[in-house]
Amino acid sequence: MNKKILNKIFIYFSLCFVSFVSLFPSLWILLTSLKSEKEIHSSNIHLIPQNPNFENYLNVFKELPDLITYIKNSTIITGIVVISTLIIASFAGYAFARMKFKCSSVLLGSILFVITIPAVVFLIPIYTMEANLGILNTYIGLIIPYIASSLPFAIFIMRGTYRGISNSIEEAAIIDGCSSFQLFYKIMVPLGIQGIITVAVLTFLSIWGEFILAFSLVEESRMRTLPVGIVLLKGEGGSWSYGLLSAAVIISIIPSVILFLILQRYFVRGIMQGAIKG
Amino acid sequence: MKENKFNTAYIYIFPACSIIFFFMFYPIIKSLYLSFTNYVYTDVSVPKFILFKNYINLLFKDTAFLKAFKHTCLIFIISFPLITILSLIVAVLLNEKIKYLSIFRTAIFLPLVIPGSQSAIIWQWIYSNDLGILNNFLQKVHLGFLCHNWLGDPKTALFAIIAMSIWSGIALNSVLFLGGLIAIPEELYEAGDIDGTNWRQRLVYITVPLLKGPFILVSIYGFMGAIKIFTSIWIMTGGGPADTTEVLYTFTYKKAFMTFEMGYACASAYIMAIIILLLSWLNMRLLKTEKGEL
Repeated sequence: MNKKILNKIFIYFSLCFVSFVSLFPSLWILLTSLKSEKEIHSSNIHLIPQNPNFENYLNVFKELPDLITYIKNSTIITGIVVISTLIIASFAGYAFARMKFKCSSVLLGSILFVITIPAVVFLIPIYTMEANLGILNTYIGLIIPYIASSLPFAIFIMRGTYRGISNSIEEAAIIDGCSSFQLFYKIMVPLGIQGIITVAVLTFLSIWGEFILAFSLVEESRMRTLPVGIVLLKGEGGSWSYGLLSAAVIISIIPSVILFLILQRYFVRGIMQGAIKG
Repeated sequence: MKENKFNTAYIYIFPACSIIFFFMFYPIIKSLYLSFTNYVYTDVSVPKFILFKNYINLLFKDTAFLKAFKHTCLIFIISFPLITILSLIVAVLLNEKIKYLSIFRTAIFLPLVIPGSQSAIIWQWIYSNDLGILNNFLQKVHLGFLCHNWLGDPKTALFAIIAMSIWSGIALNSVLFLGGLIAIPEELYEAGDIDGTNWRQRLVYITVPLLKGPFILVSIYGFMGAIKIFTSIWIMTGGGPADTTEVLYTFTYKKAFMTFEMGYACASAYIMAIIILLLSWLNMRLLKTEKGEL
């Protein structure tokens, strides 16, 4: 009996330790953002702010007006990519799950194959292509490659979702005189809502934080997205205001963290699904 | 009826396939073609077809590439076993029936959603020489002699990056292991209980053998993660100091977008892609044979 309690204590202790290590970097930035500049630069660093205040959050948009531009760009781009990916992947995933057509397995195989390719392989030709088309430094120049790179995984998840829906529902709908398209959007889409949420969450998180494409395909400051913009903010001043920088970092990760806290279930399941079948 | 269904399928997949074709397949093939040329983006002359010369130069002559290759391997060799063992332990702990489990899971999975560039900024700051919390902590526990310019010193920079990659790797891999653990039927452990097994025996004889699938996945992710590591290095060190953190990805990226030797960069990118494909093919094969034996 004693051993059991000891065991429990050991488990709790280890979990607390691991949780602390894994949360520490974000926690530290959060606490730093509540400190004054003077406190941050003092030689004796206290983890807990001596005099917590929201000064940095009040000043960050005034002192760093570019931050608003970055947030706007990221929001527009991520929003359009998530919605388009959802719509396009729902259709394609449904077709791959439920319809018979020539070359379907070859097509699906080659779409899934793309997932393993490192981005730099297709980034180089995309860059020259976009330079020729004159769409570097535009929203569309980022949105289309983002959709293209999000689609394979999204199609994969949606296909899995629609395959899991029982055949008899589909048959009943056809007997009731549903057309193919009605069957899809009146019955299959509502039944596949879990897959849709999973795709939305995973796409949002990957696009909101995407760095390489955003860094390469956009050179003008006013078109930068948040992940790239924040790095630039850090680089510009060098030693300037860490308090403001940490407030900016916290602001930029808040959407991801909130989404994760609310929809963690879907997120975790998405990763497991991708892993188990991928 | 059949004819009709056949047609609509193409309408359903058309948007997806056309976008993936023009912005994935075509660039991937174009990249393969470019890797056989001496294409330089800033050079107006027509690129010449030089067959395997880029590949031969990279693999046998370019010491910078070979060094980057070595660093990529080093990252994998050090971080992979640590990440695997630690995340297996974390996943086992997260599968225990205890109170506040969901809080622990949330805390441990959270690093997964912190974007790469933001966590690179945070870690760069942790390691920073004067304002970094790491040096400050060392001083407080009277280990001041260990204080270090972690990312600035060629001796420690790569290890500092490996430590960060372990931090972010544990979150992902414990999700994967936990997925496998949840799938193990409870009865096996109950049977073990009746036989009077202890914690360690259960781990060695029940848990680990049944986690072969997740193990193979974790290793695929491990290979890919090590080869695809870019954002954190680019932001934290840019490949420096003295090229000690230059890896395959940063090497390729610099060739493509700093010196604009795009043909050469494509060859280097393809070497990365081929390694990934070979290793994941190998892993799939292993997974298949395991399934066959079971």
